[in-house]
Amino acid sequence: MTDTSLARSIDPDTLAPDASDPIVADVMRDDVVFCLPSTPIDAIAKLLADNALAEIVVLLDRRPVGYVQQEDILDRLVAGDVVMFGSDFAMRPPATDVQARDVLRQPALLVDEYQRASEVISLMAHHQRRLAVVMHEDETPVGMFTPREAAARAAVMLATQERVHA
Amino acid sequence: MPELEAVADVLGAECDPDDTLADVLETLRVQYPVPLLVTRTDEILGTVGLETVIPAFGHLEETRVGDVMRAVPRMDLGERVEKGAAAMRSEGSDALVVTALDGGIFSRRSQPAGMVSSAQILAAIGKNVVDKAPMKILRGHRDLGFNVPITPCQRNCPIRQDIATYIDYVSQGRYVDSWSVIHETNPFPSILGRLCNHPCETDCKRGWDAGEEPVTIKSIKRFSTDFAFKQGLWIDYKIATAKGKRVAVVGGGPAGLTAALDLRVQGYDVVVYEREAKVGGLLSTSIPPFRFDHRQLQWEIDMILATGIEVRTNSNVGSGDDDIKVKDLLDEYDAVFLSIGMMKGRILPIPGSDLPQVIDAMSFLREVSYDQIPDHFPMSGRVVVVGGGAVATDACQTSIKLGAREVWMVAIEPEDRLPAFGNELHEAKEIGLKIHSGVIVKEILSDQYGNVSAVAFAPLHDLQFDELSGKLIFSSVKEDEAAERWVVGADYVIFASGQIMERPDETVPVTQRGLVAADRGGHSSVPKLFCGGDCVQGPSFIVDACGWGHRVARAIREFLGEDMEAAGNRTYQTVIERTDDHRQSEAFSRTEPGILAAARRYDMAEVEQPWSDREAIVQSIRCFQCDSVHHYDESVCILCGACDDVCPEKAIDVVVFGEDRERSSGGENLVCKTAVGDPEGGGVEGEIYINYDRCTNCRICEDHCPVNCITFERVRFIDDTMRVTERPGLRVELPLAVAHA
Repeated sequence: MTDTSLARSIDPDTLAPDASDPIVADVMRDDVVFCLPSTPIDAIAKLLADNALAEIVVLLDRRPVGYVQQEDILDRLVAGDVVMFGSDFAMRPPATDVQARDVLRQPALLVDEYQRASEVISLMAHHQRRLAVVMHEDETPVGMFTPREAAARAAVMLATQERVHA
Repeated sequence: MPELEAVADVLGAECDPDDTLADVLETLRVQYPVPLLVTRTDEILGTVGLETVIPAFGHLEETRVGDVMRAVPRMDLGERVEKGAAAMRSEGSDALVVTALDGGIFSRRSQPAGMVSSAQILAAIGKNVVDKAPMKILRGHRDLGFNVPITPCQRNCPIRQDIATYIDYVSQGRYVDSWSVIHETNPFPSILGRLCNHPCETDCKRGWDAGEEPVTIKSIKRFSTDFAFKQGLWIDYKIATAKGKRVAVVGGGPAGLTAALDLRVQGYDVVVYEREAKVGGLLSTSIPPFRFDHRQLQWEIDMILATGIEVRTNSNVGSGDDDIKVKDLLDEYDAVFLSIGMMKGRILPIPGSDLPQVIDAMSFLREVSYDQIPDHFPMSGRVVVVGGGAVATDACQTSIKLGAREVWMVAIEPEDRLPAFGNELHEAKEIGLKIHSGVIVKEILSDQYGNVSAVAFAPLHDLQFDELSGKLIFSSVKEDEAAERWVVGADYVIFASGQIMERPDETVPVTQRGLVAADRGGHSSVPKLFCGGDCVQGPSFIVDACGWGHRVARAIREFLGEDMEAAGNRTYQTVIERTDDHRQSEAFSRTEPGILAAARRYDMAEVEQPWSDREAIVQSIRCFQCDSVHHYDESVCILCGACDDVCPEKAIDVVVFGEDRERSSGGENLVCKTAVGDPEGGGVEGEIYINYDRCTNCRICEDHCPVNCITFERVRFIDDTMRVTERPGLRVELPLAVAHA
């Protein structure tokens, strides 16, 4: 046995690939924060802020039809389409007429829940996205993968490397 | 449109352009979604955000911050937010640095004073939005196959109480179950059942209809809690395996105790430092006993502390010689939660404010809470309370109950705009309070012996109020120079003109407003130091403090390495239960608990009276049960459309493929997808959608379904960390309830 094959034989990636690169369902955020095509963009701003997101998926009958990103809302603010104070009562008219459908981008980045986390991160980098919607086999969204989850993965990897070096 | 100053936060953590992303990863994670400042020799070069991890994933150690940072524009903090957003968009940045003038006339320079990130602008845009339809969040795998609407009341509650469920349990006579559900997220239901500002009721669907009023949610909570207290019930918490980590909580108020309980249940060792001789914060030292039964507060505190939380009373954390230092706590513990509130009252610096008979309302109420009459308090004398808020009302009523002959509340705002709760003002006026408004205090006059003799006020004119919040715009306060001063005789003056946060020492970062600088998760710029509650937010409501406690406990657990995504908040089990039909509720209108007759309100007896069983049940069945959802048995449904036709709220759409039927409900919740017969051979296929914002759970669809395929169900995730037990020794007698039906 050569040194190289010995190294390979004790390489954790070779011995247990699942552990070093889990499926996205194991590391995703277990919520799907979403809006509808009819959601006013001030409500979307709240959803983004409350959930520390830069992009949000737009669902229609639980099926992803696109996404909205924070820059689109800022652009509308600059254009004067958004009023900074929204409604605090149920019956008061919305503070903006602009809805998700007016700023919708397509397509949303959908990934299968069994895809590897590293694949999902590559896809996000390739498409320059900050949100991957994790889909169950019945076409229902079951989770989200965002920079927060990617950073958590990165932290785990760095810690593992440190242990190996030590 | 607010100015940048209103949304700016303190300048966050910094890094060097030569740092690698691996070096700054942990700081980026803590600060997310706010980006990290990139600086060199005190010059701000740009920002770097967590999203840079994605393209650099796998080579973080080789990626220099300087290569991936984004530009950061500068702008004066007086500029409008939209202008700031425009600058950020044109430079492709994720944040901007706000600047303020600093220095003398000749040395004046524009210096960085804070930062505004995209996330902060988004939060400001969405600040007052309480939208109905889109705020539902699918709970990942747990939601598969169900529609679980988050009810409007729950969405509006800072501690996300499962309101519809505990109200339903009261309507069924399941009072103990109701109390147990309340305790899942609320450690102080006896207080919040009486003194909550109830944002849930603002959004109650019953109140959406013209001529209807919201359900009396707050008082139903009080009813369940009174019942449990009377029966001597107790909650034993299941404590998770010890984590081997220690957390110090500074301040035993509602925020501190809520966080302490959450952390203790999860297996952390928690020590609470309280400077008073008793825990409870403002609940026990600032709210007088006529507002709520202090025995119930003690009972709730005892349940929290019985989990094994160590309490060190008379332990002040500050900068004095005998004080415990924040730095020592940071050295000793794995995390420190600072929830010190705003416990110091403010006395306005006017002539005469240093006289011995002048006191601030917080000190006044604190002394009374220890069953002492404050020094110089004039029994049978005249008291003037300066201020018009809730604390002022409490100080006024307490003065009357202590025996003052004449009590004046004097405030800037006109009487119909006073910040105090209307019912409390009404109560106080019934027992003799006099109100004078539209004036500002100018001077406290003294007699020849140096004792307070009178207070002089200057009349004001043209006060302006914020249209949305209704609050006074302080810049509009102008004295009416031509008008004569109003002078009222007084022997004692109480200032209820705001509270101050007492900064323990220089370790604790503060904002320009004199509050502790931390984000909504309680993260401060000091490692291991978390801050929350009034000391960060400014004076707010008790339920907000409990919300802070939950959030910060979660942030601390995350910080101490818990995998929150895997752990969730607590361990849950799922149950599905049928819910009842409350159609008869149309016959009842909203009622509030009664109050003691004015003649019996001159002592410290609790003013608000308990409800009878009947009253509580009648009010409970007014709830629409917005958490109940239609369950269609897809094997039985024949897509006849009867439910759609009879729905009085037009909340249902039955869609038969191939038929031209209009979808008018606006609903996007798919509740049924079925086929009747073989669609290829003459059968039909279709779907049913519900708009839960319209549905009032009237159950008319259920009645008219010819094949009985509709039922109403609730899906609940039950918290299994609590066990209700009975302790006969704790049983107490409460005043007899009076039915007010």
